Amino acid sequence: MVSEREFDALFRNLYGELYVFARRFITHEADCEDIVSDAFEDVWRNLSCLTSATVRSFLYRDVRNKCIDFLRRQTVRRQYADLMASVTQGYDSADGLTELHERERIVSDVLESLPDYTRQIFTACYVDRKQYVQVAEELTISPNTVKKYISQALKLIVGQRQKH
Amino acid sequence: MTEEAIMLMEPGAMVNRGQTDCLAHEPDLRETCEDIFLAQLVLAQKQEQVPNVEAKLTEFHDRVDKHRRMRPIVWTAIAMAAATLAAVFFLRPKEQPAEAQPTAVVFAADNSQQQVTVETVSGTPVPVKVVRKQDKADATVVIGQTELQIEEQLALSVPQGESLQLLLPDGTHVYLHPGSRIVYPNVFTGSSRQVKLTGEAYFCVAHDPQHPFLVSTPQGTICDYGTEFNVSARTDGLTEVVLVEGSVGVTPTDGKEQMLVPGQKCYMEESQCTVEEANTDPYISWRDGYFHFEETTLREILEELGRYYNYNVECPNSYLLNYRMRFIIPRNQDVAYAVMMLNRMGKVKVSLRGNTITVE
Repeated sequence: MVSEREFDALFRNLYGELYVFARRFITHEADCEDIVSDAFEDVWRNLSCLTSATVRSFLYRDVRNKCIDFLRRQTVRRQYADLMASVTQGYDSADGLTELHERERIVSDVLESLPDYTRQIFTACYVDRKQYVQVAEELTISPNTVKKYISQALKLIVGQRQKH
Repeated sequence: MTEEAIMLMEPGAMVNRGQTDCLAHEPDLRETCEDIFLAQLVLAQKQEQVPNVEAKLTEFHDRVDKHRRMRPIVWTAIAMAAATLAAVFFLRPKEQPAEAQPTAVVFAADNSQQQVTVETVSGTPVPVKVVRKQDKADATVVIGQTELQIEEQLALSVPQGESLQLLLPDGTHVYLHPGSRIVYPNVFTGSSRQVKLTGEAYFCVAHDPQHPFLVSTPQGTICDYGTEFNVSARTDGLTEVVLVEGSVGVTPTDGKEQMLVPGQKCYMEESQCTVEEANTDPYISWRDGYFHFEETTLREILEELGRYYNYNVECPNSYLLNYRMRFIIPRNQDVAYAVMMLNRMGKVKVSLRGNTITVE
């Protein structure tokens, strides 16, 4: 059972990270805010069946599903919805979520160890959502070079992951 | 493989069905894509502008929790002149009970008399005997034919709670799902064999190249050339055809014929035909007496079970309905069996009360 006071604490602790998570699927900020709010509303209506241990995975799963449904409803984004569904499958279960949080730590460590330039390229591509060609133009290098930087970093991440 | 992952995860990349299907079969590629996703997440966490959480929390309670909003009004009233205290006391709003959880009704049973019926197209009922065998998933019918003209059109209705295997005069087998209706002649004459369908059915058409077999649905016609296929003409405005074996042509109303090869699925909607690859196993399984759900949402699974057994289905925690599973069980068992097998999946708790299935 989650009490109303605990609910407020949960909201304050988790809203931010869930919003950032939703933004990986959907670019429009207001849509992400609505989805995260709706997910907390689902928690609110199910306080009696959740515990502080289960609520986190409930929220991740709910936000993920709502994001994918949202994408699916836009016909042009259906394939993208399927891709995201496949890539984020892990968030669908409590065990998966724990594993992904672990891997987040590993990825974070690798990214910290990279030269600024590589991190800059990663950010431009995946956080600012620019196409590789666009990033290449902005940095006056070739698209292949952009991909090579990403590839090097990615190989490091994969390597670290496999070690664990 | 990192190259493939980089290509798939490029922002704004147009990914196609083949590529996403690939991911399902290549766990290494998927994990590498996950790494890219995680990298995005980690970097975004450092720089993303998050909305003001306190403001969002207040907004949340204003919207969802009317309980809290009431109190400020009561306090203000009491703070007014003592003379009005009695009035305030009586005017004070009653404590709102905790908002009842909306029970999501997933499927409603049909409580009217449920029977398999056959009538002529003009509405005259025709005697029909329904034969149910213990171990068979589908019942069969024996239709009293003595009073009928040659080539009389018959309308066979299968209610919720029943499924039927029908043998047509040409030897075609039709496996009818609950909630379906088929119109067919008691003898096929003429250059083609025509039937009309609403609902869902699996057809094993008797081979006769001289006489194409036509299924007409509200959205369009399926022309078969000797083969096995499934037609779902259930939802308003959408008909779906899956070809298992042989060759069919699908013609939407006011549209052009689209040929299908085995393993393809065609959606007919508003004179348009969309063709996709499909897994035919679930459809073949129905023919062979099984429920077969492959990565299907719990919502769909529950709707099918509700319709098949004619039970109400309720699920208060509607977020559970989006859960996808693989679920295969024989259809020749009772609802208690299906409920037990669902429970065995370990993902939800299902119980039976009266004629309602409750999922939580």
